[in-house]
Amino acid sequence: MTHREPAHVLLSARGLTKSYGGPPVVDRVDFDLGERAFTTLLGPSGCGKTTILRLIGGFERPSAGRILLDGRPIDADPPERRPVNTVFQSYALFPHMNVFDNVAFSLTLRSGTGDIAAKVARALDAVHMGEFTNRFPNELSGGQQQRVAVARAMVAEPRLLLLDEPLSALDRKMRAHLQVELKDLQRRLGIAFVYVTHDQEEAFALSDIIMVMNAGRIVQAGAPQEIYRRPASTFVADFIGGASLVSGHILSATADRAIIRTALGTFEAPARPAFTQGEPAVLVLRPESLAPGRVGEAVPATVRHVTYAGQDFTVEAEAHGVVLRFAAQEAPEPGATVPLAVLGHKAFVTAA
Amino acid sequence: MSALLTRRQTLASIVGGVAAGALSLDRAKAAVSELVWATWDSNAHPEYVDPFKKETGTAIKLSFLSSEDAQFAALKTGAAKDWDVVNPGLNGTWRYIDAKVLQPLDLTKIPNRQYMYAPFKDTDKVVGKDGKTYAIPYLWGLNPIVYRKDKYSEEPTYATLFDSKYKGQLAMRDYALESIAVAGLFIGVPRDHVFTMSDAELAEAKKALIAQKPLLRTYWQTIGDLTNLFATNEVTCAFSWRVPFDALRDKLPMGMAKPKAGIFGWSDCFAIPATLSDDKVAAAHAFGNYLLGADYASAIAEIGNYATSSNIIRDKLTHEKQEAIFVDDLSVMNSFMWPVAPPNYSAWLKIWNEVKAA
Amino acid sequence: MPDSRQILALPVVLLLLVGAILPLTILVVISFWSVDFDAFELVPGFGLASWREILGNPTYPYLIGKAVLTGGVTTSLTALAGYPLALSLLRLPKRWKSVALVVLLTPLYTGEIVRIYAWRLVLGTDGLVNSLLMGLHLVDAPLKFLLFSPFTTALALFYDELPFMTLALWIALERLDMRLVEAARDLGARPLPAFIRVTLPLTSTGLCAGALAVFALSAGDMQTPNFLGGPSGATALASIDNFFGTAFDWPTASALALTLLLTLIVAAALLAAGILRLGGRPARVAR
Repeated sequence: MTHREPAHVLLSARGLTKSYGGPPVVDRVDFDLGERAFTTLLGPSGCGKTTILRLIGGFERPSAGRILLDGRPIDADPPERRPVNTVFQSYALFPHMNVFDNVAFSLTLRSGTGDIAAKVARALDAVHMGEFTNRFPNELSGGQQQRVAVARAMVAEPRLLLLDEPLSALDRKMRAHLQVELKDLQRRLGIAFVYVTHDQEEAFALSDIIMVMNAGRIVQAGAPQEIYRRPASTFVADFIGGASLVSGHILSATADRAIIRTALGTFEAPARPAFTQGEPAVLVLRPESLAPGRVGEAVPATVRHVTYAGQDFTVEAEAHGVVLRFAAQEAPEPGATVPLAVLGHKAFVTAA
Repeated sequence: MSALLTRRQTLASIVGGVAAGALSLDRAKAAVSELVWATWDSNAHPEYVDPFKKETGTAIKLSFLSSEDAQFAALKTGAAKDWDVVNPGLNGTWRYIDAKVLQPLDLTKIPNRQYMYAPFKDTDKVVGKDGKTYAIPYLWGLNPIVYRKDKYSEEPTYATLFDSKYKGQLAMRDYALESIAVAGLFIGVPRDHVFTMSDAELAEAKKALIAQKPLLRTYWQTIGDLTNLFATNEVTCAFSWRVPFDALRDKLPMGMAKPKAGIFGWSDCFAIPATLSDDKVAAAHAFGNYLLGADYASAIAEIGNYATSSNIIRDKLTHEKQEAIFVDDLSVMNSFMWPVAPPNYSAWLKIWNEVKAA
Repeated sequence: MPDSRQILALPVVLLLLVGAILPLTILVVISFWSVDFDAFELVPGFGLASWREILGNPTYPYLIGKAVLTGGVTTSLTALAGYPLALSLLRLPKRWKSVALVVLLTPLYTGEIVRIYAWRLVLGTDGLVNSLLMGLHLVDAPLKFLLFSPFTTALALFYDELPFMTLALWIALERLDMRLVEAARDLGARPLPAFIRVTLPLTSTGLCAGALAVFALSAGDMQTPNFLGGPSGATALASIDNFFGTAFDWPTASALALTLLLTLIVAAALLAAGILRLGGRPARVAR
């Protein structure tokens, strides 16, 4: 793992593994979560990200490995004894309690929690739900329920808040709105969030750290730009989206750059890991790594599909048997041949 | 259940065969080819009635009763048109006579009456207000105290059932009539007066029954229930029917006691419905005479362990068999009492409810 | 306005009305009649003798109270045992659930009398339990209270009715979103508070259904107390049976039957209302 070491580690996983008899759902995972970091577990469905959340929350016991909080193992602790709270997917609000009672739930379980009503009011105000204390969950919209779920988890004053795809059931506009609210809330509270999503845009918008997962393993962890610009594998590059992958082999390489020969030509690009000569590798081409219309070192590409994307058009074209995606200001005719320049310094070479 | 069905099916086929035989061989001789006898299934195995067909050519077709009340209702409503001979209980015969569903019997056609034990022959329960006899008791038995001989040094009496020495091993029947009557006998009410006890005597009996409660292991519900209780050593002495004695005597040292204070007897009668057609009346009388005769008495003593009201074969039986059917010591008949519903039966029931709930 | 589906229910409603109200009306009428015990005939009229007997004689209020108590105790015991049982069934893998269902319902197929005699074999003086206790030298003499005592009645009724309660709770729990329980734990509730504040209220309709079935079946059971309760086995039902069947005292039987029925209905209604209150919120229409 090559991600940044946070200033103070709140929670760590070491060799964390979970299996239900078959192949492991979570497979020897290690990570450290910083005290105030917004960390996102990003991956396709079934990759084990929700299971990691449930392991942290205490709803599942690890098959192997450990989870440490402040360096102390907490695997034997039931959920109620962990300073961790969860915002569940579809929220899991108590349908038989009104908003006030839902939010007050954790406070009524302990003694000496002070003025419950004031704390509930403060938490609901923080999520702009102060008006709805007497409503029942089925009288609220999805976005409102989500806010109540956050308030309910927040009021328990956790050191770590877990959010399991909290926005996936909402429409696009509401989702964008709540993303801003969540990020804002996290900064104000100053506590660590662990966020699970399969939506890379959401991950990029919110996270300090993204951990990309595939088949039970964390395949790359790092800051969003790092993940985008320097995907550690073709899986990451592909999952992050929009990239065209062109295989080839290394002609020469330094520690962080490489010259790669592909069907489209030979290019020099930033690279990781350090390659050796002759090694097979993959050139990752983002839309911004391809420039249409440039003459010179351009490759002729045949237009296959054109999609209107608002600001511009997304074009899918084929050159030497490789499918390339790029953005264009004007829509080319399908079937037409367009020249396409490959900008090596905006591309990336990753392991095959 | 299945055994019962099988037996009934077998019975039906045997009776059918008998009837067919009668038709082919004795048609000329027999004035009546068949009589339908409504009775209890334990009173009428095929072996008990086969000889009658051989003697007279009249086959006996059996129609089994489900309850005394059902029999009375069937006669009263006319639903019993095919019954030629019926089977009222001795204690309830008055009801049939009052309802005029029976016809008077021609006693001269029943010569075997001469062999009847006096208490049965002389009973006025079967005589109508017109002085005529409408029924004849033919089969009887008694409800003894059944006990474990190895647990009691001497034969139990009703007092044994109220003796704290035997706490936790006694049982009474969950039945107001018999249990209150037993308590009546225990507190000294004479047996001919037990079913007409005064209110004061009833109160006394109730007190005895409530005092008895802690001594009881349980109240028994059915005779199978009680047999099970004896078999599993839960109970060693109970006011009973003879069934547990017969069922368990091979496995356990079972005994039957016939308390002198009074013995609850039962008796079934032979009677002819008022509506019976004239051509069958003679054959019906002949069948009544047969029930008091030697063939029926021998068969039912041998197989069913029941005694008829006729002494015709008594002296030919082994002492053991006499003992089994209670005719070894005829003084038992001096202690007979016939349970009848008391005139204030509802009051008895209320007392029983109070005892049970005490 | 009734829709077509409600109209389909009409024949059943009529049947229930005729089947329930008609006999009850007859009972009410007969309870004021008297009996001519000489003629064995019911005499129509308006008398209060049978009501005076039933309400004035402490025996019958006692027996009716006993029925309510029996129902209440059995319901409580089956609920206490039914929840853990149903929760463990819930966690079974799917293919084992059908096996568990069959096993759970097996006792119901055996018939009451068979079960009663089986209890005798297990709890009797020479029964399984006493033989075991004696064999292990834990007791010197057979424990008599095991059979023919209120304990036996309670145990047998508990066993007999447990499947009904467990089944009702199981169905309710299958419909419960288990994430709600996880949420409660997550928010700091230990297992028992999480159960009381989330699982119990959200399965209260199932509990109510189970409780009503168990209450009716146990308060209305005559054979189990009769055959296993020993001298303590008296029931209001056995008294009714005596009055109707043996004594031909239909008016008293009717008055007792009506009083018992009314009391049990009121008790069951209170029980149901109490349980449904656990569910918390009154039914409100979602917007």
